[in-house]
Amino acid sequence: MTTRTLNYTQRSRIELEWFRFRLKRDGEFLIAQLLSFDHSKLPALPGDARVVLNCYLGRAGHVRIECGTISNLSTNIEQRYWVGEHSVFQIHLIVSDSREASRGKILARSSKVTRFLTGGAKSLLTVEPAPLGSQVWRLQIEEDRGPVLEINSRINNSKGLITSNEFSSLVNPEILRQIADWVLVNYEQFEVPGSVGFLWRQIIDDLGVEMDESDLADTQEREELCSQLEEAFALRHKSVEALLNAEEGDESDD
Amino acid sequence: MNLMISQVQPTEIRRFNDDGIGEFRGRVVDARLNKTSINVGDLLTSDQFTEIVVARPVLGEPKSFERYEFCEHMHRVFGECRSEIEGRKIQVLNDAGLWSWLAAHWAPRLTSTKNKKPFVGEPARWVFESQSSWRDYRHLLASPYRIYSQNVGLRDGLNLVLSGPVWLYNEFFEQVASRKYLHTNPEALRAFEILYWDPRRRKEKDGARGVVNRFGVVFNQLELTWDLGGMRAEEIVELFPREFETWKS
Repeated sequence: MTTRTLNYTQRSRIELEWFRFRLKRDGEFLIAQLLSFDHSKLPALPGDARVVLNCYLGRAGHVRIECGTISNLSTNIEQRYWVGEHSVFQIHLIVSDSREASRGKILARSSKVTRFLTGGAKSLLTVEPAPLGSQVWRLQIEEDRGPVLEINSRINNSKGLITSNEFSSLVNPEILRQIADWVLVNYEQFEVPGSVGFLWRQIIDDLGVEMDESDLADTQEREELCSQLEEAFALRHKSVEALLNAEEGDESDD
Repeated sequence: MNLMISQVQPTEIRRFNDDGIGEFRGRVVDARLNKTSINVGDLLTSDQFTEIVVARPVLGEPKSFERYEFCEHMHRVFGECRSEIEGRKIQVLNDAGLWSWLAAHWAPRLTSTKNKKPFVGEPARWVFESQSSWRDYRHLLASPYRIYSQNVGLRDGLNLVLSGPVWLYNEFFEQVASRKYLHTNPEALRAFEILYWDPRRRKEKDGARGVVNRFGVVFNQLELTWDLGGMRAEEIVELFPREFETWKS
């Protein structure tokens, strides 16, 4: 059974693609700046609705960058603030009503985007050969290393397999789904920087699926969220297009 | 506990290195298990376990260990030696070695008693676990100071949260310290005080202690719908539902 959440607040959702912001290190300070906000796809908003970039920096603080109004957006406002070496940085954009009667009501908001400022570019997912019998792959979650993708040790070119368009399109979304379930089960615990779970949580958060009102302890709600995350992942990585391209390549080879 | 304020000469400020933090934690655990005071012994000035932050004798005794007064005192001390601290690239709010050392430095003054025996409590009260969002707010000294420093100048808003001695459990402090969205929003702190602080008697409203845990829960829900970071305390209070009517007056 699919669970659906009713949006009683009538709040609109700001997709992450609709706005851009910049984070820049300047010594021990961080500069955050809203670069653009395309609100054309949102329902009509009052011109005087306030646009705010909310920046959360762990327990150290919360900074609001007031970026003007819908009809008079200011994208040149920078806010500098001090950051530590291992800072978690969350940002989201909200539009709130400025009319007296409903002052402060949130009319639209985005998901939170998490940035780990010292995060590197190395792959998080460990890949290893394993005796899997008739299985091609399997995802194991280990306590210290987190998710480990095991590939049947009888497959010689495992690297070629996992980087192929077919594997990326057909298997990676399912891998992401399994990892997402692990992250959601441990969501609060993975708030602490420095662990592999924390880094995976960032990746899940960055997919932009609204989770604020979800009960992560509820299996059905979690499954629904995992489906949404899998879909967001497939969309971001253009899974269908990649598979179609692979098929076209095969046909031309024939 | 020694409530007498003795004339103690100011000292230099040190911080524990990683080994020092480990050693101090071990001594806290021992004291907790054996129901004794924490033996800091020669740990405070050991070159093996500590390093100097400020070599001048700047660390005097606070007038009291009431949360607000203690924070004011530390704010003055850190202000006096800002250049030395910055020169050593120490981030005061997050430095586990510094706050753990300060707790060790004042350990005899911070140890309360329970059943006539020293009460040490969990190690996180003494060893600042700055990287753990579940335990960092439990530190006796770092946690109130963090709230204070994020809201310097906001006297109406800190009366309730920073009341009482640092070593004494305070439900109001716990509620705020454990929720970053509260203590990083001065107007939320003022709203908290409007509801639960009696300005005439300069103490909490009668009965507030038993229900104060509802504030954070409801605030959390309201935050989904309202831009609480951009609202005044009075506006925030108005949003609270009927169960809070008693406290609004």
